[in-house]
Amino acid sequence: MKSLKLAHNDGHTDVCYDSSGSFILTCGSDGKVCIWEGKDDTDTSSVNLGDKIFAIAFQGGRFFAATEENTIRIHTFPDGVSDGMVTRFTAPCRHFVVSDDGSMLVAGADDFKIKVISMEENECICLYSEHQAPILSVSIDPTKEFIASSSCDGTVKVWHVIDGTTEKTLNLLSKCSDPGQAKSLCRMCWSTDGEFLLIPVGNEIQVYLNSSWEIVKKLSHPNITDTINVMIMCPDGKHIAVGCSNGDIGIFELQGGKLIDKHSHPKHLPITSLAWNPNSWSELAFCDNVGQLGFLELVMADKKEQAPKVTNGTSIFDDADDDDALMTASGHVAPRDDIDKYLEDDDNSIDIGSIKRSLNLDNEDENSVAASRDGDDNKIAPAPVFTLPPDLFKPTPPQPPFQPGSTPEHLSSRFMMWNNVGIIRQYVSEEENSIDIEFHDTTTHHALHIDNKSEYVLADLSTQAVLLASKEEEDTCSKLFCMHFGSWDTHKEWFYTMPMDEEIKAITATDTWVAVATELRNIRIFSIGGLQRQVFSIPGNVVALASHGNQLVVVYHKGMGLPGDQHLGVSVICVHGRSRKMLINGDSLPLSPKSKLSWIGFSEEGSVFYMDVDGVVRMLNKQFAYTWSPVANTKQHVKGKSDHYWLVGVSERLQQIRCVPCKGSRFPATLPRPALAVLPFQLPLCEPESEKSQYEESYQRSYLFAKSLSDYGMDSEDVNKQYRESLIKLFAFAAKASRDFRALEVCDMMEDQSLLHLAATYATRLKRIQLAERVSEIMQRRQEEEEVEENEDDEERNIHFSQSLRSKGTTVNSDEENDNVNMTSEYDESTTPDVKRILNGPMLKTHTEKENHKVQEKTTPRYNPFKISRCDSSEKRSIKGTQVFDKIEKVTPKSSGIIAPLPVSIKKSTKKPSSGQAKLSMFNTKTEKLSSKTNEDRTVNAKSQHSISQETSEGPVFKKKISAFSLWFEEVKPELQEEQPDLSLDDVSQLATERFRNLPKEEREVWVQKAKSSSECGNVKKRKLSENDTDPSQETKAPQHATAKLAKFAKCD
Amino acid sequence: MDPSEVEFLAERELVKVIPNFTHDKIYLISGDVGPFSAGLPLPVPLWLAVNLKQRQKCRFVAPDWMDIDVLKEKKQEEADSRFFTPMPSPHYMEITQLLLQWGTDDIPKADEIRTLVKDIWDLRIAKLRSSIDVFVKSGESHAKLNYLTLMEINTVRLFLTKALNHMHQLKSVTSRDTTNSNSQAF
Repeated sequence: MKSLKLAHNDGHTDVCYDSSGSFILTCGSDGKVCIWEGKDDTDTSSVNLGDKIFAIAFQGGRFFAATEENTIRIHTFPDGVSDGMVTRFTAPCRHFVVSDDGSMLVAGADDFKIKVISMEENECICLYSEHQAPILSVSIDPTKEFIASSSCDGTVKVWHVIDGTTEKTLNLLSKCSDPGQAKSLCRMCWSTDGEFLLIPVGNEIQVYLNSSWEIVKKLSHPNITDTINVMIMCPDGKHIAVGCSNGDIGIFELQGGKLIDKHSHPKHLPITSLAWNPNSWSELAFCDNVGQLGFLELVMADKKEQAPKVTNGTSIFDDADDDDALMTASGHVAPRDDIDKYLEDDDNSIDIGSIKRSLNLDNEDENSVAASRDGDDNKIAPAPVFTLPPDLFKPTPPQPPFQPGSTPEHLSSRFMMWNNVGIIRQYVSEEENSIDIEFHDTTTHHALHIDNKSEYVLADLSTQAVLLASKEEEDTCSKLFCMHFGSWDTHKEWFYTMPMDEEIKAITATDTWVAVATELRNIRIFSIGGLQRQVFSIPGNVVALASHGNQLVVVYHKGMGLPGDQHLGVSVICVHGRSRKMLINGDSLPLSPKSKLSWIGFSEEGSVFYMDVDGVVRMLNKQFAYTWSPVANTKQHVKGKSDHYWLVGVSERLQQIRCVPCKGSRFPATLPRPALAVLPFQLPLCEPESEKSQYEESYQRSYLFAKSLSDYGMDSEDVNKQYRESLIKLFAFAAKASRDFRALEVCDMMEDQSLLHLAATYATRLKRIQLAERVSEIMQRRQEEEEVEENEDDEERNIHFSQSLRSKGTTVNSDEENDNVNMTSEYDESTTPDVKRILNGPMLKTHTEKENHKVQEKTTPRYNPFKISRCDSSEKRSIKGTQVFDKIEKVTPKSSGIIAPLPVSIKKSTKKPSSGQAKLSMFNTKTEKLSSKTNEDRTVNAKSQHSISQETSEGPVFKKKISAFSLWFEEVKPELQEEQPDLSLDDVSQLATERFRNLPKEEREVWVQKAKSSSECGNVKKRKLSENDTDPSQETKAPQHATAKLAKFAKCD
Repeated sequence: MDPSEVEFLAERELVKVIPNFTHDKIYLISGDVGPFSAGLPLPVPLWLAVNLKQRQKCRFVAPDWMDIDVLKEKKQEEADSRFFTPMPSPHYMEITQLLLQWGTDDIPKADEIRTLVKDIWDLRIAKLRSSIDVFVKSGESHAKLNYLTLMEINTVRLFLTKALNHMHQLKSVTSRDTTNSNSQAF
């Protein structure tokens, strides 16, 4: 395709040849008719007709022009002097045709009318007004019997020239209100013998048979992807040229239905008109919608029909953007023949020849006449023609490379880049070609304006540099230009010229390096100062590049996808800094079905995100084996079906997707300045409206981002809080619904003890004792794990301890129990502030208060096995099996201050290293100090415990607290161990506890008595230790005193 | 009340701006504003928006209702209804005035918006006048008007209250006169 000539202003442009084929006439919205003397003419003469000209035609030394004055006028050629008016409408005439012999003119206008004018008498012989909307196009049958007309009402009508009666109405097109909004100009044409009517519908040509008006054939090709705008029959009657809305021009063969040639408009602008040179059929003139005129040199349309010349084999991975890519169908010839043979008997295929024979036998003669007229070469009778079966495999055109955050190149003002740093805009017009760079943060740099002489089309922006690249032109190589404004020296710019035939396809820039992907599948890395650092190759044609920090993301074509799908590969590479490695090596990029990539980039923090054209945003999930997790669907937020969001950035910390809402398009226009919108992340869980799913979603999402953020060393308070909250909510939800197992699963997901603790408390409140027990088991397990990790010394001590346990038996055991009691209650204390904090959170408040009420109403039938001996041995308690703290709870009007009865206390004879004891008591003193101001009760409590812990920490000699259980345990231990030899000591003691609890009351009483007696005859050391206590029974009173006080305190509160 | 006072009250309304700088939260008596991140829309009080704009630190984002179509619809609704219709913002006039005064370049089709808002204002003021007219003529002791904005009330307050006062005085004088004359007649 030769370079285009600018003929007219923006807008619909029409073209025609004079009858000799040596002059070309164009008309456009500037009201001029330009007369070009041959295609190489540079000095055109023009005739100014004043108003917008919609259509032009040449006939008999005069030309006709339809102008905005609603008239069609005749002008002399070449002077352009007005030679009378043909007709007048009440609205502009958009299209008219003159019959080949010049005797008839048919014109359709926006006033829904079509006029047929006889040129000899210069009067209207027929007025057709069946259409319900403005007329798009008209076409005269070469036999002048019928006229076909298309209209914005979506119909194509075929009617008689003579009386204007409608022969056939076809509902083929989409309706629209205005010809300007019509998807296609729908220029129809007739075959030269008037046998067939050809109508462009979408991206195919439908062929209708004259008289039956049945569809007999469809001409289409996978390379013709966009709507066919205009269509014209070659004067030889064998070829049809089509011009598409995306600038593609294709030449079809009428008989074979093959696409024999294809060209693309360099800027992909819609083709508005086509004209064959009547003299030399190898020349085709066309106009686009910005007033440019172009010519095509065709290889096939010689006067003598030649076999289509094979320029090169058709490869599906030939870049569709290649201006000169000749997509000859020759590549498909061989398989097609096979298919034809194979499909000989297929019902789908229609043999036009046979239809013709069966329907219009009388046409045979005419056909042969036509054949002989065509020349010697066309001796063979028309070969049977087959349509392509619809399910035949069609390769999906590969997605062209793009810059994420840019709008299409053909726009005269467009965004070259919109990212987190700033906005780069490009303006292309006749007068100027310039680039505007604007920074979001003016402290980065002031706005820049660059005169775009080198015609840069790719751009990227970082906080240190602007990177621009140009395409390869015929004589110039692709260029890279970097404006390193962050440099501290005076040389802020550097250039590189790419090697010949290595066009830059994608670029990306960071603060320290830039990367360029080229046509030859090379990635070139430069330092920001302009050093060439690395060159490496990628396995396929690049689609997009993105970078952040030291990471580079490359998306490329990995192969041929399933029909409609793209098959993209993605690599994430550390290209800068100390470690250069592949994070992801050529994985397939998951896309929604039949969609393409529309944006890829990094979040502000540095995770890879991308969006496909279906609006699904996915994120690289490093926590889950480097998978791609869908995190949002922007389509959920759009108002209209054709609305889209155009992504520009992502922030993980704020959980924001920054995008521009586009009404009725995929990308925004530069003016009016688009407003940024912020969308939230939402994981696509099942049943998103249910409460449970919402909690789950909230948890999953916050977990994902909390982990991702902590990876980058940025702990976000908000995200962490949200994550904890949603876990607790999820637990509460499951527990309330009596889904204990599920609740426990939630607990398994809780990572810190305070959360587990809260869960346990909650379960107790709900009277889910089993659940609470299991939760505390988890807690216990976690703690052990932690300890194992934390301190190996501790482990050693544990071993030592268990040895001593075995040797010392009773003594240690009882001691240990005490430890547990203390430990747990202290633990309560230590975690209380934490628990309180969470409890006071807005979301749990209602729950807890409600629960509190319940607790107050009923006494918890909690039963603490460790307290039995003490309770029973000291004095008869009125409420049996009720804990000391339970009592407090009962009388305390609000328990949120004192969260005492925790199920944690069920811990049975866990080994607790004595070092832990010391630590805890230390902590206790601390809490004592801290809480003294706020809560007297607790202080008292703590004090009492403190004293106990001091006593117990003295060592295993301390014997006074030999419980009934421990005595019993010693008795049955060998028995149990025999029973369950594979159990560890822990488990044995646990089992024992269970059994002891299940003992009948009388039997237990016996053991209690035994325990009493044994503790009374304890050794002398005990006296020394408990100096202030005279009696072991009084010893146990210490906490009781405290609790009694507490109770009193609570009461008078 | 002075119109400037009404404007002062209106300046507490939140409008969105796109700052061109990055800054932490600023803690103000009326509440926290921010954090500012360059290029991201953020709601700030109108007074701050205007202040930032004057220092060229931000661009305005037109409120949702400050749109040709929305305003046209609103105007039509206002014209069709006999009563006052709820306005998109209780300070629509002041916000429009301030935003258009300082940020004509940021708001698309500023002139049309100005005209439309002025039209709506005129419609409403005309309605207000006619309702006052009806009210006074009917001699009722009270009347209720919904959805009046502060600025609109303010335009008639001074005049209306004074006028009613005068009328009341006149009425009481005339009634006294008639009673006096009546008593004299007897």
